[in-house]
Amino acid sequence: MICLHDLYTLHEEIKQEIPALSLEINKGELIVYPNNNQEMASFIKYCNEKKIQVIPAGSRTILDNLRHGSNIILSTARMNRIIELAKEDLTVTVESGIQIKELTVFLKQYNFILPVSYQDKPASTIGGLLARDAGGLEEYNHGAISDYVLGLEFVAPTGELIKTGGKTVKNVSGYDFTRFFVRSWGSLGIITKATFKLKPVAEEKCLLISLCKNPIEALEIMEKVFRQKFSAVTFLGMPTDYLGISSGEPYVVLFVLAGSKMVVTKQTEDLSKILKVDKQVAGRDEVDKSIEKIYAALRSLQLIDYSLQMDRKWLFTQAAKLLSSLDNQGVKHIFIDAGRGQIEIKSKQHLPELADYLKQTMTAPDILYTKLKKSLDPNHIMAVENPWLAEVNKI
Amino acid sequence: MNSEIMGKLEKIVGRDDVLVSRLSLEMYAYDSSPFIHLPEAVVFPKSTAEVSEIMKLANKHNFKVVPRGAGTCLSGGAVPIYGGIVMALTKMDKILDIDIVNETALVESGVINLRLQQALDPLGYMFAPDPASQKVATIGGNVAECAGGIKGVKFGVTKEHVLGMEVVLPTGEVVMLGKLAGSSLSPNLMGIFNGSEGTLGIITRVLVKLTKKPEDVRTMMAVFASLDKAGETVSTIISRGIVPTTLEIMDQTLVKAVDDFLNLGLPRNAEALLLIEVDGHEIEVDSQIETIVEICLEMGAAGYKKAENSEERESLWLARRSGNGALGRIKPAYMVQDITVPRSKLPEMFRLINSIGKKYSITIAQMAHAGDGNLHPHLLYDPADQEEYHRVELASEEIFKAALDLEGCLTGEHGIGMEKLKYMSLAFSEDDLAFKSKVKKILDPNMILNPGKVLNFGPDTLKGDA
Repeated sequence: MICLHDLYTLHEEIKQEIPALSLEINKGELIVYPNNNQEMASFIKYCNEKKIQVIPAGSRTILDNLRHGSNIILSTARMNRIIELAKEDLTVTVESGIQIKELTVFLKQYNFILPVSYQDKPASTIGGLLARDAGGLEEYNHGAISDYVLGLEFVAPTGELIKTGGKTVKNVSGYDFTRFFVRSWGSLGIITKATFKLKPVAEEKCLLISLCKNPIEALEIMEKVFRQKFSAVTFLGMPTDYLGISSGEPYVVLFVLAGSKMVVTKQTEDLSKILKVDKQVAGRDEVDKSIEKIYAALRSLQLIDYSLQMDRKWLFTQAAKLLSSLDNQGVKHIFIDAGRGQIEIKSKQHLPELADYLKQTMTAPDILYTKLKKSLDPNHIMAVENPWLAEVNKI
Repeated sequence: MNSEIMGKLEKIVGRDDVLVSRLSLEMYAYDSSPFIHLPEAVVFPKSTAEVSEIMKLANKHNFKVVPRGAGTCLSGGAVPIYGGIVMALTKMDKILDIDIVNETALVESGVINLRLQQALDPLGYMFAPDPASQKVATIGGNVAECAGGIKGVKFGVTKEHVLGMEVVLPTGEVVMLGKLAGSSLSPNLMGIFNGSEGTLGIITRVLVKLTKKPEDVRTMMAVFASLDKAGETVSTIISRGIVPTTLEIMDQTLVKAVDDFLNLGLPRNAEALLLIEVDGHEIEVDSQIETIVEICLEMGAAGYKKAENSEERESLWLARRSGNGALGRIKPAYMVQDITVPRSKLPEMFRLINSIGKKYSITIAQMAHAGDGNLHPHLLYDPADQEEYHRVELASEEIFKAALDLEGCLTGEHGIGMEKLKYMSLAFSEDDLAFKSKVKKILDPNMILNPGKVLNFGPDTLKGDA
């Protein structure tokens, strides 16, 4: 971390070197806002020459007030334009600083989706979502954001502007470095522009809600539904409170069916035969709104997430033990996403024991990453802010 | 390669799994491209540990290694152009696990695509990538070349179906990537091995994503008075929110050649034939195909035929599958290109290819996986006619340039290999190419893994300096 006095000096130096660049000092941080590729590349070149460490950042939504690394922030916030929507090709090209909710709303007007969730963190930027390979509520069906990226422009840590991939789904022209950034957390370069393939929105959706006793029972219900191969895109379990329903049962399971009208209607009937449906929401837009409402309510609670990303097999066969031990400890805010195979424990307070446990599951970056990081970023100017990834900053 | 190295190789994989006879070397000197070069030995590892040992040995003694699956590569990816050993992964052919709850399968990279399909079929699942070579091509090869196939329009290409990999780096270290890695937060560079054409590492195990088999399919064929119209129809279908599994276009040259060959009674006057298949739930496929029929008629289709049963479906497919072979009736050889353009540019690309054919007085038969903008123009020639071959080369170059101008790419699913090396500078800037080279040199400092592919390091620059 650079002390405040030196930040001001640096601020002046950068101003002189790259006059067009916008920058500010705020709460002990120097934040730099390039307006375009060229400014981004010149600034990174400058940092590389002077060995100044920066943290590439989007909206910084992931961090929950935990900070680490440098206090010079390279922000994509001003590079947030939609460059082209190619309706016939089902592709969209955007700058990396655009926020996911804004993009989702824009695409929806044309009946397209980029199936990455905006509900939990609407301000997340496309660049940030790519850098952590985000998925979403419908990840079971649609995969993660890296499955949709066709082409990228990025600035390498040594300042070159690089293009990779293109505008077509099929493309094996040279290496596929679009996936270079999957969970790179901004440490291998900063993405400036991306082209994605889009999907048509589902014609119809139906949300089915079933009340139950606890997360363990919820898992049993989810497994039963999962094995029947319904066109379900979302499988969630959460405390009934989150839905704003008053009920005797404390826990609830949610399924979203999606597809053509005929299929959703038929499967809703079929699913109702094996599931005690306590509430049902029909209609695509209504379902999307209901889900958004749940997440908005959740966000307003300002809980801290501790996320355990495993897989479905683990959930259905082994999670029960963990869940009953959490229950014994009085942990009530348990959120299950069976599509993604993950459990989130949400809490008002920090839970240091749980944080430690999760930290143990982190492994140091592998030798492949280490080799590339050392050579592509020889002066180690690109740092990551997430303290759980501290190992990356030690390379 | 001296006898000391041969001895060491035999020690690693066993004497029976090192081939050096002239006949064996000739068998492994080529793939499905026109390139040929003899290796000095063919080695068959049976485990990841053996692959790793071989790579360490290769670095120590500085010999080249060319990984190979079934050798169906169309761009020269498996040809040992600078000698060294061919490492055939066909003995690493075990399906290690099929996990229905997670909808994944863990396979060794030598497993043949079709064998995996056969194992999954009774469980109600499939591995979505279905390259034309699937009867023999291996999963490792599919991943390394990022194979596409006929169903790409709906299911995408191989990289979208790979969740984890075990890779032996060129320097011999073994890394577990993606969902095979320990942590779900740590950086994950698995993706760079998709389409790496065996130059960045040797893929030894793959965790693939399984796809539920559709309940039902419907197949139809529509006939158009121009390639343009057929191309526009493809864009229209998709922009109306219907994503068929297959959208294949054949031009008149192909239709005639196939009909001469098989007597299927195809519409010989048609300028373009569009083969369409949709899949999905039983209750929805009929209405989907009806909507598509309406679109085809709206776009001016001269006629259409829906397959009423599986026999009719087979006969529609037979026409498509027989295309390559039937062209032999016109000229003894062809060069097939693999350019891909944004779907809306298909009609323009068809037109450009036709006019390039006219300009160079060669016959170009056009076939396209139209749904994903992937064109396979077949440039026909007689190998005995040097001059004609030269014109085919010139025409190819012009086709590449036209595709790049339309924001397309050099190759959709066949790879750069050796075949398209010289065109890389048309597609990429110096900085782009330098970045690719840098990554290659970092991972393969002695430049021993499949040199001479993807990037143009000549024999003189084979030693890296990263």
